[in-house]
Amino acid sequence: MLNVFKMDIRRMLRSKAFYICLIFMNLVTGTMILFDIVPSFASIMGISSDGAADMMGNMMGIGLAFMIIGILSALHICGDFSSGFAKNTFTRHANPMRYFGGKLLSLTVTGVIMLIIYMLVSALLLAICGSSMALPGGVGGLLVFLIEKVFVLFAFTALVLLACLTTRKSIVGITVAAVVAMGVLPMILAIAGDYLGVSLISDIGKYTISGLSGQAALVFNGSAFAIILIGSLIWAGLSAVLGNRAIKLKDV
Amino acid sequence: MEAIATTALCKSYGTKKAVDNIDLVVPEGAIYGFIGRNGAGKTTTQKMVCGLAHPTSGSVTLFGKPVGAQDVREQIGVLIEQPALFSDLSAYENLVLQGLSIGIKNPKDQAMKSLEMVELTEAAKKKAKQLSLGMKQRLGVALAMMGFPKLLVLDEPVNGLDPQGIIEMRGVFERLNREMGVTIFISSHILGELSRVATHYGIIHDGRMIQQISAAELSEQSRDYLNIKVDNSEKARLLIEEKMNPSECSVGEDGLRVFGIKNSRDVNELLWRNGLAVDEIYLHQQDLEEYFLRLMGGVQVA
Repeated sequence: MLNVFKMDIRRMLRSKAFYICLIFMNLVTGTMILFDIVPSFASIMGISSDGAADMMGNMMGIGLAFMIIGILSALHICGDFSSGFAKNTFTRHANPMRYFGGKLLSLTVTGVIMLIIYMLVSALLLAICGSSMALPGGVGGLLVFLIEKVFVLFAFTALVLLACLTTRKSIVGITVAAVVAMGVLPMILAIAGDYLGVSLISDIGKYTISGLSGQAALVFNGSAFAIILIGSLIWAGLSAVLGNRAIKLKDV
Repeated sequence: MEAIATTALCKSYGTKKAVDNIDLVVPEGAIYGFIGRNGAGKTTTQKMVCGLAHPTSGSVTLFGKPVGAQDVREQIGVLIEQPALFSDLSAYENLVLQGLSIGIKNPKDQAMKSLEMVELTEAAKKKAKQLSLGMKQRLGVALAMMGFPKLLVLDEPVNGLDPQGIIEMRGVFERLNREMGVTIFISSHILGELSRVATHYGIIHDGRMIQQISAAELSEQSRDYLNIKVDNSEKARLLIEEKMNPSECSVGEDGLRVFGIKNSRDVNELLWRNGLAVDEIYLHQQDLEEYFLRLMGGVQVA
């Protein structure tokens, strides 16, 4: 697993796509900060005033970062198959979990690097523009928020990996990434719950990957923290099991 | 010990049987030429041997262990369908990535050695997409050789190479086989080239193994004949049949064919003594291509 991780992280850091995505992500966010579309650090992190996340917040805030990380991941994974390099890897590694685990680890690390750069660049631009840098939970709250997002990212990447390994089509991976990053599923569940008058349906949305991401806040909340961690691990585990099965069933 | 042994190996895609009940045996240390037309099932078989495709039924063992065992998988190098390269990365970088992926020590040093082995040192910094087809094929072989596998599985590795490139690649295979003891399982349509290196052959047709034969057995079975151009072919035929007792003697468009006799001097002398002027006489040796064509019923080679 570590061998695949080492190979993959080296490949990622030598790819143009990584740097293009990084620049694009910060360019979009930077433009939004400069034009005062996202006026505070909280809104950059995709958090609205009530601590929840909405679709607009996701599209203009950290959801954009997730979407770009998802697109990059999908292209990266499917590149293994379109280039044929997967043949080299799967010939040498009999256990598909080595591939899945190594890939998941490298993509999560890549995503974390991108998230940290995104946060630093955003904070710097906000400070330059004199916008609100208020951290309601202090630096500790920010760190907890980052940890929560890393766990969500772990689950998110695992799901994109599953989509790509099942279909071997980058467009499917990108679509899954976009749907999750924009919080489409919890939004649909919330609308359906309201329409049918069944709150349980709306509540299910909180446990989707998008819903878990929306629960992350800049102020530490023990129960939310536990739900995000456990929920993310369950999603990642489920994706790993199904991804493992997809590799075993499908010829390379 | 057999490097590769398959038992009743089958692979179906829907109702189509791509590989049908193949029992293949590749002895350790052999260069096994795998021959068949396009779509005969060569690549599918090779993929199953490498664990890249899952058999519908049957089994594959490598060096006496099931193909699913991790330790045998670490002894395989592959080049299947096309060189598996990241086109935006350099030749060197592709090799380093492969080295890291399989966990070898000093992947950078090993990458340079592999480039030297296939004589691509000067192209080390070139991006894979800038390499010619022949160079890509050589890089593909270098990738397959990273980590010094005991078994190389190569699918059409000389495709697209110029004559010089083919000769160089042949040299690489011979070195790997003779000096390093690597078993090579190779499919190719260039039968003349294959016959120069292969020690064993497997001939596959419509997913079924038609024949497995060693190069020595092939040589014994080959129908070599004396081809004679003479002013009176019919008279020469009767004379040879009467005096020399050949296994077969026939008059064709390009002259008289005498099977079972390889001494052209004796035949020439006999014809000359009996007043027949010989324009041409030579021993025609049947090659792998002819053998394959004969086995396939004389139809066009893929």
